[in-house]
Amino acid sequence: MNTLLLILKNDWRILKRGKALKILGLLAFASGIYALIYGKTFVSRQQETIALLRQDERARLDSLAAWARLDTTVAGNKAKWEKATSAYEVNVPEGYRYALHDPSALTPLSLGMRDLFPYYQDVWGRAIFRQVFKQEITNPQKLSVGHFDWAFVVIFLLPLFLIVLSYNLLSSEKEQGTYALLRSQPITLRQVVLAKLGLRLGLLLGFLAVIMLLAIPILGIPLGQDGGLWLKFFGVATGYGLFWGSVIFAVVSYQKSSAFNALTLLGCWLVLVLVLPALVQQWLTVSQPIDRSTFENLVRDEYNAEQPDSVVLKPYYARHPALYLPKDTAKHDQNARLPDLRPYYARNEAVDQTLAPLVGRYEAQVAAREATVSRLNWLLPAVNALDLFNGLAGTSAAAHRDYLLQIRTFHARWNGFFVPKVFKNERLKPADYAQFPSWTFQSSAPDFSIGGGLLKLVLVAGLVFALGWWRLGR
Amino acid sequence: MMLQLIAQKEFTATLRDRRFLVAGALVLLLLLVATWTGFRNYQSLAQKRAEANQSARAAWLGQPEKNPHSAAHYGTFAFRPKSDLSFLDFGLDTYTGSSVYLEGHRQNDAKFSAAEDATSLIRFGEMTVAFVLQLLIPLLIIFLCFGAFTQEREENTLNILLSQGASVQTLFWGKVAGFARVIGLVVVPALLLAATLLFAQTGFQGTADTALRLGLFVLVYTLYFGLFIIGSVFVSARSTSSRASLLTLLGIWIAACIALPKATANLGESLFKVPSSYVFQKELHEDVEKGIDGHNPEDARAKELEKRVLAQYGVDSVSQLPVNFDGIVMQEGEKYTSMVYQKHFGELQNQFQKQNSLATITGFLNPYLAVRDLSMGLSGSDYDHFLDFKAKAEAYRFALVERLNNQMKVFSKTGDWEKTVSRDFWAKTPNFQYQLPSVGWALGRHWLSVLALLLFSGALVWGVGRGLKDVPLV
Repeated sequence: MNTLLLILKNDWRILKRGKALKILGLLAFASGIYALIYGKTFVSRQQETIALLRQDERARLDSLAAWARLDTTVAGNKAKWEKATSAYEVNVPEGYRYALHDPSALTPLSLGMRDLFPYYQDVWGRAIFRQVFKQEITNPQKLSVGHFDWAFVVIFLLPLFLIVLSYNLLSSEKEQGTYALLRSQPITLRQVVLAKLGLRLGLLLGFLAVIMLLAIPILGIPLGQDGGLWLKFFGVATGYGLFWGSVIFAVVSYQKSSAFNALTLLGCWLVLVLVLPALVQQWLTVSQPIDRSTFENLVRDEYNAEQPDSVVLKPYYARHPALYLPKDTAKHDQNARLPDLRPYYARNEAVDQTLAPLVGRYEAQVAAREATVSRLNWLLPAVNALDLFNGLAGTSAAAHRDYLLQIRTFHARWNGFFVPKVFKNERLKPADYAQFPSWTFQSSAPDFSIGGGLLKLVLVAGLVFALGWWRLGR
Repeated sequence: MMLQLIAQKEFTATLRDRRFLVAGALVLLLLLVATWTGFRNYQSLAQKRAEANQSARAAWLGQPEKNPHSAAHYGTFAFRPKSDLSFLDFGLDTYTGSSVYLEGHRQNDAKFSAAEDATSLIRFGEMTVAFVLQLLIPLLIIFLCFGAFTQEREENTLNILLSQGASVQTLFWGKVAGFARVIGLVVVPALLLAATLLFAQTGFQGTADTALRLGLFVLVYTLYFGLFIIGSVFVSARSTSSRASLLTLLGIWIAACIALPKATANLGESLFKVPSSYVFQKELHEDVEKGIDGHNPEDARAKELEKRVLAQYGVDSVSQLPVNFDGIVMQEGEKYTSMVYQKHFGELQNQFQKQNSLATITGFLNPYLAVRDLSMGLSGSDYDHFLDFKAKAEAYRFALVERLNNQMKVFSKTGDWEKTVSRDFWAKTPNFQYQLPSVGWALGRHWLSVLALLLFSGALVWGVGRGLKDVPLV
């Protein structure tokens, strides 16, 4: 045992004196800190926009609420009061609310798809599918290059750092002529390689821990609330690091030259991190094609279909018998410059009725692609890790779909409040303003389970490790 | 003579090396797969877009008799056709929208990018021909060349070679020529397949422009591989050991092909801010309402217009006009909003170009970035080609709406919103047909990258010439 400690101590001395560790440490640290700052900047820009939207919404609704309380005996107030007490005006053009996808505390660590999908949506009373097909303003070139966030550093760069530190951990002994001396010690080759690799993995874990700990004050992660998520994130990063440790272990076990190890390990990195994911992506687009580019055409055609009002209204009333109030509903008021409201709502709902199954099918297609990828995750540790990171950070495509679903539910609640009043020809009362449905975003991240993904990562790592163990024992 | 002998030796020796055969065959296989899947993907997209364009036109033609202004609201769609060469390099096509809704009063952004349908895999890139050519072939070159000189030195054959009368220069360029032949063996079959597919697609009647684009595409990559071969052999000539040579080259590859592209894009985004879609729309509406200079509000503009038109026709009131004043108002409004949109979209695009220019400028030091830029440009899948499509779609939209407004103006009287045009009117409006700009235009947009690549090549050859003068022999 003492011999082992001695070897470790010497190994550490050599590492400490060499240039490689210093340069790598500096590079790793710099990229880690940059990634944190980049993530923070990115998210805080989105938060600024979200704050602006909250302010806009509050100002609009407060002013409407004030108008609803105006004294209508004063001539100048009439128009404002009418607007603020009209269920249609508040439901559609004036009182619309923002459905906001708030970033979680972990979002800056793994920005995922947050640049690709919009994170806010104004919800009006009209058809939801006349509203949600939107894009946020982004530079396509930036989108294609992707983020330099902490997830990128862990998934792409960390394995490289580990490889550079460890590719010659055994071969250098041969190349320096100390191998025979080493083998004459009363310890096994397995012990030597494990100890040396353990030292390097320890350094890697230390680095992970330092950056993850720094993330707490820099990003302001509330440990009381998100400590569990933080720990899981750290756990996935550790699991991914261990996977690469076992790959190195297996390659080193072949006891080839340093140049061979370096090339083979880089080859593994290339295949697992670059080539396989890109290949699967390409294969998916060909084998599971998805096309929704004509959805907007359908929305337009359905909404503009030349049909008499009665044809549109009949199925509408069949779906909503409670709204059939022919006596109460206002007749179309030409002077009010409003659309005829009954067919207006019927037409809008018809758009949603037409689009909903198509959008449902589209989302199922995307989910099917994800399921295919998830089945292949045994072979794609990098993709697996990224999915786990994104899931924990609430930035995956699935999280976005969940957000869209919440928007649709909110839209239904929003209309559920106003539409009966429109059809009953009821004016809004000032007290109604406190009862308006309001938006609260429910993040799916806390319920995200990392068990399956992490298990795959660790199992594959174990298999690769076993190969090395067997080779070294021969 | 000597040079050819050396080249022949490297060529034969490489082909006898099993490791290289495996790596080379793998890369060739990937290249063929990338060509084939890229082509399949291109074909299905090109077909879908063409069909979508046809059905959009059919919907336009199939409109019933209606008021021209209703038709402007109904609008039509422009789907972006895929350029012939985009199957070699998807460029930004995956991230830019595929269709634009063309309607009266507003300019819409392109929507529905393929990236939105993808899983998190999209963050790892797509296995396109460009991906293999830009990232993997350079690695193959490094693998091939890192020992070019160091191995001779380690085996003590360098002195013998030089004592035979070969100069270091001859040796260097001979090796470069030998390796170039090997790389040609990997790349040429795939390019032949690509060219065959490309021209078979068009019934072997491809345009001169496509052929020229393909020719330049091949030229750019030939130069790129040449640079990597020369650079790698040079690093080998100046390195003390094969290991050092390999590590240096791999370090350069990682920095140039992985880290720098991401860093420049991220930095560009941080330096040049763009507004959120919400702020963008808000500022746009304010400019329309208050006037582009803030001193020319909408109602003042309307009054001014009325005065002008009345004077032009020599009448006292709008009702006496021989034409429909609403048509004139709408056309003037269209002109004004177009100007506002142009200003805001222009500012946005400028900002994006500034963000991207960081990568272009870095291209002077990093040929990967210059080649990436040129490759996208020649394939017609870069940001400039996308903007060209958007500009042409917008020009079409403006002309279409103008035509409808003019019809409104001449065929009815002011206040008449009921009069309709007959069905054959729709066929008289031209169809939208997008023409890809010429290769000259594309090169003009990317002259900086051309310059960067040429300057870098010149500097490298010059540097190599100087550096070869004192190559260590042992």
